[in-house]
Amino acid sequence: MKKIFFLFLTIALFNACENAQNATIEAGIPLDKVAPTDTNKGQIPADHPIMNMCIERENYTWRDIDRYYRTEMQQDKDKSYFKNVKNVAFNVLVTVFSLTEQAPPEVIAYYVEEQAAIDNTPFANEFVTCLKALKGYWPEAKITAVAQQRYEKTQAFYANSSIWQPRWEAHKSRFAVLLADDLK
Amino acid sequence: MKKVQALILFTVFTVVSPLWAKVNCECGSPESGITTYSVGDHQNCCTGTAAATGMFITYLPDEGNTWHVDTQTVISGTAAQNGCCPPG
Repeated sequence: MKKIFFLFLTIALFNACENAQNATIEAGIPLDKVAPTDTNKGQIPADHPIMNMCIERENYTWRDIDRYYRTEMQQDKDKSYFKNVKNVAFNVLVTVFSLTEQAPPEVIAYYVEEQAAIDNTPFANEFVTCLKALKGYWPEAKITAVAQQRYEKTQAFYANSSIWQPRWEAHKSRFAVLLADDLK
Repeated sequence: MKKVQALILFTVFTVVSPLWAKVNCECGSPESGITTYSVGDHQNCCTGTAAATGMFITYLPDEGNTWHVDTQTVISGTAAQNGCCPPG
């Protein structure tokens, strides 16, 4: 009986450990054929912890994402998708985990500075939400300046790329919120 | 005692163990958008039970063919699964 007990236990533990890695990615019935992740430079792997934290949000809090962002996630800094993971983590923190309502201002300021340092971030509304939450913590002049710099940096990113440049006219309205009067 | 042990083993093996894991599913392409969601362990992406939340991310390429996140939308897991597995 003991042998059977240990056999079952070993199989169960092996099964659990194997699955706990969440390494298995099965495409659904693809709308398009999905190329292996490593052939699409920049694409965030489906099993990346940030993706898991978002699609299993009931198991996490903003503190979990924040801790992960500042520690383990930094090990991805040489990966082609690092900037994308930072952007997605920021967006998830603000929109899913209500960062501006839950976290202290120093944490919000950390993410504003992180986003401000990136050459291109698509989440202007979320950036502005964070800046507004910093009113009273940062001087208004600093808030306005950071928003202005974010707009100019994004515009420069578009301007420096022959592929992105034609898109600026269509996209700039998304970033106009950075220049809005209510930040002043 | 042996019956109790057997019952515990059966429970661990058949009920608890599958709850420890899940399968991540995705479909689409960076340009059209990647839909990501999860189903339970060993479940089929299209017939399994989708978790509550899914994600839809679109990308734009640069000259070096690196993809940059352009939009990200949190959607329900069921909507994600329906998007990846259209009926029929």
